[in-house]
Amino acid sequence: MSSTEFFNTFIRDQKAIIAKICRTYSDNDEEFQDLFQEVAIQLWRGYESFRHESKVSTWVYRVALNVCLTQFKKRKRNLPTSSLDDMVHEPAQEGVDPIHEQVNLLYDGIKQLKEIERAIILLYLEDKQYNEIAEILGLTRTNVGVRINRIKGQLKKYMDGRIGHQGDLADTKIISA
Amino acid sequence: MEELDIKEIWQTQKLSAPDLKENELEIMLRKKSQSIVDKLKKFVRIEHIANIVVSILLISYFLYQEDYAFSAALFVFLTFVIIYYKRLYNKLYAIQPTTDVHVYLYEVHRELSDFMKKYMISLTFLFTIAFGLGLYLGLKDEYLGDKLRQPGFYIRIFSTFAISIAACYLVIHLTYGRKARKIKALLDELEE
Repeated sequence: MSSTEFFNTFIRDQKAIIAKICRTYSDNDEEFQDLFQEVAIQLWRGYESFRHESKVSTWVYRVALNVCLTQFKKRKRNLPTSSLDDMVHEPAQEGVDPIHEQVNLLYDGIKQLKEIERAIILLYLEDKQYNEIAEILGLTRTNVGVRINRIKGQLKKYMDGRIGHQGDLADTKIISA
Repeated sequence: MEELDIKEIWQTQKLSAPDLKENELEIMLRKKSQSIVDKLKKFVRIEHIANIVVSILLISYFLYQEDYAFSAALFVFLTFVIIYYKRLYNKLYAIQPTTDVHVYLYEVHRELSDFMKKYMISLTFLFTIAFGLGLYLGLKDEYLGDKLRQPGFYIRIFSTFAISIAACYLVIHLTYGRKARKIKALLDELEE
């Protein structure tokens, strides 16, 4: 198996993680694809020198977050057609899939947060332990704990507000009908 | 909303992630990186090569003109410039996104700020050398020398010099200054 084939397998295993991070930091498909591509390039470059001192997932989160945080908008699209198009969620279709809508709402809430807060909550949602989050971000465990509680509060407030608003809209529609 | 709910919602997402098409990854990996560090590396590498080429040409020219003292001075100065660029490139090359986020942001910000600062200083030096050299060669020339000694010449040439330097500072600031500020803001957010 050539190194490219080996890396292809590696990316296939990790692409769900990469896609979630890229989606958190992108506003449209074009940005998503550019971020995904940049993360893949940086992983490829660092792949040979990865010494397994940390978990593979920790390493992937670090690279992906570092790329997404330091990538600047206004990027030129340079991936004309790609299967990555299928990786991004389509906009929620009202009443079609409530789970899909909830996920979109959660992403909307996360995108309201500051960029570092997004990274913290993303790792929390990915079920990472406080120690691992601290290791990825270079923070202390205590700091991570405090921040997660604060961000969860913000996220909860946002989602409650949006769900309440959507409920009100639904009620209005029923009354109108 | 309970704590568990957010995680549950997150984990129910079915991110349709099909396999990458055949050769798609290879094509992707052949693309140029858009990262700020890689752009700086590319910029410094091009400058480094240009410096070497220009240095060889300039020194050869003055040796051909049998101006040995000037050639020697130029050799010393340009050697320092080349060593400086080489060190700058090595420092940029050492930055890897495989470190933790705090270390990475800190290193990128430090190198970006240093790059801007040092680039402005070296630009001022190189501009001064280029202007001085142009003036030196011009005044040495019999025909050009007379024209250059006309009234108001020095005011015009120094105004052009000052405007050129100011324009370069502005371009550097617009190109890299905003990026440096954004990374600093991230770093502050992380350290708060």
